[in-house]
Amino acid sequence: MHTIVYLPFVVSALLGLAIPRCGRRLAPATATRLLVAAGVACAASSVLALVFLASTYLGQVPLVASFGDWSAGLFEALDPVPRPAAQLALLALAVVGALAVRTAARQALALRRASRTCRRAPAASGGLVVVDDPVPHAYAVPGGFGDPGRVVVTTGILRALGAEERRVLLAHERAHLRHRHHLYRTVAAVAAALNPLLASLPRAVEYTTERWADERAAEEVGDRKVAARAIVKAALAGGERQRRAGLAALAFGHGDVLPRINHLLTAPPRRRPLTAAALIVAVAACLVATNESRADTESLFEKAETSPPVVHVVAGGHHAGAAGVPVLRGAPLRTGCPAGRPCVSLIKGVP
Amino acid sequence: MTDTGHGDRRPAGMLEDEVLAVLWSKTAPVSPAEVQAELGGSLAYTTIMTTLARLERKGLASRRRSGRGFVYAPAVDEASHTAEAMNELLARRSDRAAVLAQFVSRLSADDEQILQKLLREMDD
Repeated sequence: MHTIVYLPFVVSALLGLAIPRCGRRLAPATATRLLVAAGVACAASSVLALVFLASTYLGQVPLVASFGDWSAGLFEALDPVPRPAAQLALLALAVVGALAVRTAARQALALRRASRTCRRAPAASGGLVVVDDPVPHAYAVPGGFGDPGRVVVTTGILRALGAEERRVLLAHERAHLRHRHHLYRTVAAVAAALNPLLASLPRAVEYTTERWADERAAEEVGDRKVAARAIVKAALAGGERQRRAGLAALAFGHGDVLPRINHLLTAPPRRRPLTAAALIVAVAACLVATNESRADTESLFEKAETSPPVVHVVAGGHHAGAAGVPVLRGAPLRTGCPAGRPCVSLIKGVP
Repeated sequence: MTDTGHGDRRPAGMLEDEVLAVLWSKTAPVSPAEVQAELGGSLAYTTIMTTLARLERKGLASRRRSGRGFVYAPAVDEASHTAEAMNELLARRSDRAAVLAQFVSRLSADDEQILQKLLREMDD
């Protein structure tokens, strides 16, 4: 096993550090797609790296070896990975596996709950549901298959905004549904569970999907400033309400409202080919490393493969010896001996 | 429907949402003309009328006669019915981050001051 098996961990750690910066620099739709793709590639390749590392330990366990076609002893002799590293990999695999299953199950449950709620809520043709509630709230609820989902807004937020700003709000939430942002967010959450080095991914993808929806809304209304004002007003209405209710600030806020407004008040996002290329290179490095390690692991198991020796019984050893035929242990004496399998010849009739 | 061209890329089918939002943003029933004024001059009066009629058929709005025409109000019963389910969804913390995309998150006190200043500048 070459040290390249550890490369996905290095790439993941670097990506984990670079994610927030990439999320801010790249155009939001590109950022979302590239970050989620890079996250999935890094998470998958590091899980496979753990599998390869753990297999070098598992191969030495006699019980496991007895199910396969290799010798536990031979495997141990060939093993290039320090045993504690391989055992640690096995433990890590169990932990991240459990975390990922839990995250995926939670997300699936939440999505199902959302789509069930959608079916119960009659909406206008664009999917709007209004809730008569003075607390300013607006969110998109994804529907299930064949259901576009719902945009839920409270009267509190509708009354805090002007007509044009309400268009921004509705266009923003519809953009979340149309571009299926919940799927990117769900995949990001699972990738981060599989690889804790990518812990910054879910937050970054939440931010880039918000920015993506902001840009679509600004395009639809045709005025970036109106889009910015809608967010300012909605955020302030929320703050106002929060104070009156005596709630602490930042209860579940992420402080991403200011950068969003800032982006809308400046020029539309530019292309950043270098940042995008760096992410693509990272993904490629992970894939190459995974393929190399897979080949290494395969050849390790092949080398450790053994089969019971073929036993030939050679009659009249004395004569055979006299006739000058070399009788050697391990050398096939008869034709039809399977290639690559060790042979033992027993000679009968030697005095 | 006429298009004034300036920033008016309203997707088809989304008009119902906007008309419904207007009805809910008002505290009193509104006439089609008031809805038209609120949404900007680019929409034809007849378009507004048909949209209001569709909302009424769906049970999302109610109308009553006022003078020579009708005034429209949102259907409060229908809304309170769905409000409960929606609030339940929002109350679950685990659902919020990935599944529900909220328009704005809460603000810190500092952010609030900056935004208030910004809003004053924008309105000038």
